[in-house]
Amino acid sequence: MIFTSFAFIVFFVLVLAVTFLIQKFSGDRVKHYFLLAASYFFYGWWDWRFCFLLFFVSLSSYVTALYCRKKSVFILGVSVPLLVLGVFKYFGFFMNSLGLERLGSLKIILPVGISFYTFQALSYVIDVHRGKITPEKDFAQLALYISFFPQLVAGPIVRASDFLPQLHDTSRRMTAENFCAGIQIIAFGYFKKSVLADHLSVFVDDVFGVPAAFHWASIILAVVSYSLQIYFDFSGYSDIATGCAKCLGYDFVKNFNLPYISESVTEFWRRWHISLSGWLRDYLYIPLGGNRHGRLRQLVNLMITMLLGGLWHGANWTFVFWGGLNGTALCAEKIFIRKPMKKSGIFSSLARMTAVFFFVSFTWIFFRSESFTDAKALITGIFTLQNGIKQPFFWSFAAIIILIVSEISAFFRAKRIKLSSVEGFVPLVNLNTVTGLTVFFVFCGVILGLAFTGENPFVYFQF
Amino acid sequence: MRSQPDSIWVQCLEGFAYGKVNNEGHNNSYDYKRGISIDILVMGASHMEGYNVQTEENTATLLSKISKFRVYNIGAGAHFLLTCFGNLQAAAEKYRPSKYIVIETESVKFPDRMLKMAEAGTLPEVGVKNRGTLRLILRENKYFKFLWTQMNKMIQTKSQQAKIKDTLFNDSEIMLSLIRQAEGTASSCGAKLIIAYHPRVSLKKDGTLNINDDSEIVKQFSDLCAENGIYFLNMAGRFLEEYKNNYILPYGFANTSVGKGHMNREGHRMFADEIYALIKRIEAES
Repeated sequence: MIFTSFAFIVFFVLVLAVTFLIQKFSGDRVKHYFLLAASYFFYGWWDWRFCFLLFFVSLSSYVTALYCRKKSVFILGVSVPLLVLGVFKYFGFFMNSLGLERLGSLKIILPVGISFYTFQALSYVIDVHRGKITPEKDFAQLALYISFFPQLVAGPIVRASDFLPQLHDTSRRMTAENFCAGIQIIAFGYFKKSVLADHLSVFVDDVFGVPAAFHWASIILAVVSYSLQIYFDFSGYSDIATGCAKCLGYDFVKNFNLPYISESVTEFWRRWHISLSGWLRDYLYIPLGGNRHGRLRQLVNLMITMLLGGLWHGANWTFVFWGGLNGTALCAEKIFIRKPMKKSGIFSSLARMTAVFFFVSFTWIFFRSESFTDAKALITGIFTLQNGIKQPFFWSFAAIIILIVSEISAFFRAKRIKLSSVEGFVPLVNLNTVTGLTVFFVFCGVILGLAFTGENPFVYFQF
Repeated sequence: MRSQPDSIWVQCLEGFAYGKVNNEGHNNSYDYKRGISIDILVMGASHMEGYNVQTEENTATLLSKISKFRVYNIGAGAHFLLTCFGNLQAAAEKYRPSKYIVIETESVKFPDRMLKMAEAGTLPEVGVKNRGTLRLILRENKYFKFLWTQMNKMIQTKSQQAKIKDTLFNDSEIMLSLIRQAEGTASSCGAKLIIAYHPRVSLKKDGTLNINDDSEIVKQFSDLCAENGIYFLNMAGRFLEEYKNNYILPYGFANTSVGKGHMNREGHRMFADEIYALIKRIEAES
């Protein structure tokens, strides 16, 4: 059940209605049980067998967290999600990479969202071990935290310390105010995903599928288009997830903060997939030593973090290489830019933004390509000024203009209402007014009218 | 489906084009008047209707410009080859084309069930019926009609589409009978019948172009046409040549997948060129 399917819309409307009724006539406990059941139903829609895996990960985290003051139990608590991830996602990859595929292979289907919920389970056990949070006594609450359907399959990676207190907070309820904000964030997410990302995917798939057929300028446009597609796709998903949670009375952390206005790769990683970057920082980079053991060790730690971050995205060396490229850029910035960048003029800022954008776009080639051969074909096509099909894809230009205009307006809107720039991105209107409602319904009409109607799952589902 | 007479059309799902249909609702740059002498009558589906290209860029208009013949286009969406065969007699009687009737088709392979329906004259009528409130709303309001199409596409599953494709095959006996009937109709008004076939294309991994058709069936169909006095034009060669020399594809627009969807302006140009080249050959032979 993907967010852009008709089935999900029906499912979500029913969940909203039943949750509202439960809230009105019963208590929070029943509401949590219902949301837990709904989340398992949502997950089981793909393949009901994986519900057992989800349950197993939740149960193991629950039990081990209760006794994780003991080192052996803590190691077990961390090992189980890692083992599940290793077997289901990386077993075939490592067998192939080590040349051991002759010894036999397991035909395992990758469970949707496994990278996300295992990371949530890990962070919970580690936080309890560190004493940052107390172990959750109610299994249903913990299971709901790990399986809560809006963030289950593609994040954001919600921390237990952020979400469990919300479940305990009895004042958190479905309200008209939350609902109005939530559906607008959802609509904004649908626009990004169904109108922009999905249309861009048409051109991107064409060029990345047959790079040998396209003119070099078309290849560059496709690479830029992929940068936009993955941003609109993933941030669109995050918006829909955030909006759904908001409608139900819960808040998620922001996952994107206008990443393409970054003036350095370091800044980009503070703005892109924030929940993952934060996770890697807190549970990998800092435990490795962070910057506490000298410059060289810091660079090594950074590189390890980025390589593993790349591998997290997929069981393929192209993802590791992508992580390595970003790690190299981060290390280079650490070496050469010792002092924080001073405020500079608008033109030098724009030049830096453009340079970072093109660097990031270049790295996405390896992220998107299925093999190094495909990536090489694209890069060769660009640098040899290959002749071929010229495709000035309309949606690429439309997306670039929409991105630039919306980022500028978000920036100034946020400045005016004194919020962080990302807060200004969602144009919240007051749905209690005729104007607000009219704007909202026109916006919905535009989404429905312009939506791409082919099948196109979210990019991050594969992770 | 034919448009309302004299209405303005705007299409932007594939490319962007706009124009005005003539007094009959067909996409021509001139109005039809009773008794007018027509040299070439063009029939076919949405490709021939000139869907998503300007009127001056569609095959019929271009053919008219290069051949100096009066060409009248009655191409209309969803009128595939068998539907055109069914409509041929009425069209020939009404427009009385003096030289040629061109029927455009993107397929020469039809399900047996449809061939039987075509032979019996029971193919379903094309277009929205005026029954029911919902249909009336959809017919009257273009935006609702568009939303309805969007929602239907979203709900439709891939398995349903696959099911439709899997049932295709060809019954040559019925096809032979339909071809003979069509040729007889064209001859009765003194025109020669041309079936202009434009196959689907796709890109191969090495960057070359692939023609997506079953060459055996195309050959079988082409032979049937030749044996029964119908001229068969296959665009495959021209498509390959144009791609090899200029990397130009006949289908697809700046807002769609390359090489897929409706015929673009380049496709119409190639199509008009090849129809004209065939006409010149026929004229030279006779």
